[in-house]
Amino acid sequence: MGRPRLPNALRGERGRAVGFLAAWIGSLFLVWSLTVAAMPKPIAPAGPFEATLRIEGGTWTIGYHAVSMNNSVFRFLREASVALGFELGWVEYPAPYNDVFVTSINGTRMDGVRAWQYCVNGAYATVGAAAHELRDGDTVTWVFAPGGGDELCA
Amino acid sequence: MRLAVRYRKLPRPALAGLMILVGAAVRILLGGAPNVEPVLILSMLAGATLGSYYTFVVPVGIMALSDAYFYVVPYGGLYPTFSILGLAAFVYTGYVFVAAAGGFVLRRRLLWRTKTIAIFTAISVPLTIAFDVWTAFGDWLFLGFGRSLAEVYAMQVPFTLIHIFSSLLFAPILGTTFLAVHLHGVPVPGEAPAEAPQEGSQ
Repeated sequence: MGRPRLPNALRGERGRAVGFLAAWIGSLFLVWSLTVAAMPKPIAPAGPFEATLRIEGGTWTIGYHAVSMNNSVFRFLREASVALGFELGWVEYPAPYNDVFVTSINGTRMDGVRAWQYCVNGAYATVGAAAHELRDGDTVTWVFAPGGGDELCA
Repeated sequence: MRLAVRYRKLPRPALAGLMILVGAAVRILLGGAPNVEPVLILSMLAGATLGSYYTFVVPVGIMALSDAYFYVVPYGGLYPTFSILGLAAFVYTGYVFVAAAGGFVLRRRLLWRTKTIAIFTAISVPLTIAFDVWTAFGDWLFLGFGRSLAEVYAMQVPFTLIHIFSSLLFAPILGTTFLAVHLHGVPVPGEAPAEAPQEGSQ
């Protein structure tokens, strides 16, 4: 009994092309799944919470304290900018990033040496402002500074 | 007279120009999705199909054209010139390296075969990782804002995954298209050759 033969369409160059196409689609699916798993998860809406915001722009300071429903660092900052009427600039990164990069607050714009960075409860941020969830009693500090790290949050 | 499609080979400067135009246009169109870009694959193709100084001209041409748009229109004034130039040096040299590597691996193996596209697609993955390691280093130097190199590389991981996805997506699409143009030419309308008179006897 001989070996089972592949149909003509799956032999030779055409067969290799079909095999490559299957491997290509499979690898795209695999890498996309890994990418989605590595991305920060969107923040689910939560009940009202109380938080404090402090923005240090070098020569000026803004303070804000509120009971809010905006439970991400960025949404809480936006709420403050609307409530207090200060300028806020940011660059939005759409899906799959779903995050923002704050470029300017109250007219103070990043300049390549200094940038807007934030801390929550004295800990330096490790994710984008739209991906950090706020909880009751949190204190957010935005600092316009050249360096990063926990020393900014002291 | 019958019209038919014929294939005309493109001279190397024209193929390089086509790559630059396609690369700049697609990069601008995909500008909202960072790291999804055709430049890396077109750089590899330039190295593999054109070689010589096109290894430098094609990636730099694509980047210069599209950067002129990006830094004047959406990112105008966002980053200081020093940071832009510093990071650009890493990005441009990264693409030239990718083009040179593409030429080194594939220059003598360009056949109209599935295997060529499969090898091309496979080597795009390590080249994408090497490119991201190099440019993340530049990012740390010029836009690091005090973060440690390890932090910058850790933050780079999801972006590199997207970049690998982008390379896997574009490698077979652009690879097949430009390999066909390089090996067979572009279709142009032409006159069909006259049919030979039938010979025979009744």
